[in-house]
Amino acid sequence: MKLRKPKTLGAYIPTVSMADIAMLLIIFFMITTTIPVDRTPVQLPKSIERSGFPEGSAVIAITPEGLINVSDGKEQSHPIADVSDIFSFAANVLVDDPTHTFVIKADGQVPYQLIDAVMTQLRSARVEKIVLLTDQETVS
Amino acid sequence: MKIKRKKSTPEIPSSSMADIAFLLIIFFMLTSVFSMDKGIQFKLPKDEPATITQPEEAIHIHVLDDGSIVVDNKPMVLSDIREYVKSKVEINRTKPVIVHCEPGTPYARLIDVLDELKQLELEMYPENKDDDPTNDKHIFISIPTQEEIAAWGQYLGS
Repeated sequence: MKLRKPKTLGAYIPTVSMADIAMLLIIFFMITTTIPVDRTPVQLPKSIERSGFPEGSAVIAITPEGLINVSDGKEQSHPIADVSDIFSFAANVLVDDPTHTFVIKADGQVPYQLIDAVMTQLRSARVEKIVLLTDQETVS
Repeated sequence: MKIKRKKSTPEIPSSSMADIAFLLIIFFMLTSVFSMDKGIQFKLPKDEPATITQPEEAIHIHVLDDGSIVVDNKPMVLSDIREYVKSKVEINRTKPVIVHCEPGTPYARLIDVLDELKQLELEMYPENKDDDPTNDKHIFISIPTQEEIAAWGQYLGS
C-alpha cells in the first residue's frame, strides 16, 4: 500500500496581534512620559536625599555662564535678561496659584552669589516652596 | 440576460495599522523622557524684617569659597556635620541651623551640606519619608541672604 505523503505545514510568525501590542505600547508611553518644559543643559549637583515635586512646577535653570532660563511649567522655557526679572516672572506665576512650587535647576559650578540673588527675588515675590533640583548620588 | 454582479463586502483597510502604530511608538520613545526629576525641598521664609537669631542660639555652618566647612568656628569635614548637628539638635529640637555660604562657594557645596542635614532630618523624623505635607517636624534650616549676613556682622564674618 502506498503511504500518503504527510502534509507539510508552512512555518510562519503569527502577526495578527502585532497591532494590538503596538497600540498597548503607545498608550503606555503616552501615559507614563512627560515632555520636559526646560532642556537647558546643566550638570546638576548630586544628593542622596531627594523628594519629588508637583508636575507643572515653574523652573528656573541657571547655567555655569550665568544664563538664566525660566518656565512657568506650562510653556517651554525662555531666557531672561537679568536676575531682577525673576521677581516679575514669579509674581505672574503666583497670581494663578499662590502656593506654586519653583524648581531651581542650577549647575553645580554656579557661584552661590547667583543662587542667593535668585532666592532673594523669589522671597520678595512671596514664593514659599522651592526645590533645588539634584541628581541621585549613588552610595558606594 | 441577467448580469450577475459580484458583491464586494466593505472593509476598513487595516493592513498598515501596525506600521503606523510602530511609527508612533518610536516617536514617543524619542521625544519624551520619564519624569524622574527630584530634588531637595526648601521652604523660603516670608519676606519680612528678619528676626535676628543670636548666633550663639543657633548652629552656624559656614561654607567658605574653597568649599571648606567651619561649624561653630571649628573646621569640620562634611561627613562629621551630621553627628555634630545631631548631638545639638537632640537636646533642643527647635535649634536653628544656619547655612552661611560665601558668595564664591560652588552651589554643589551648598547641596552637599543640605543633603547631610536632610539625611539627618529623615533619621530623626522617619515619618517624613511619606512626603506627607502635614508632617511638620523638621530641622530648622536657614539659608540667610547676603543682607541678613550683613546684619549679623562681625560674628559671621569670622
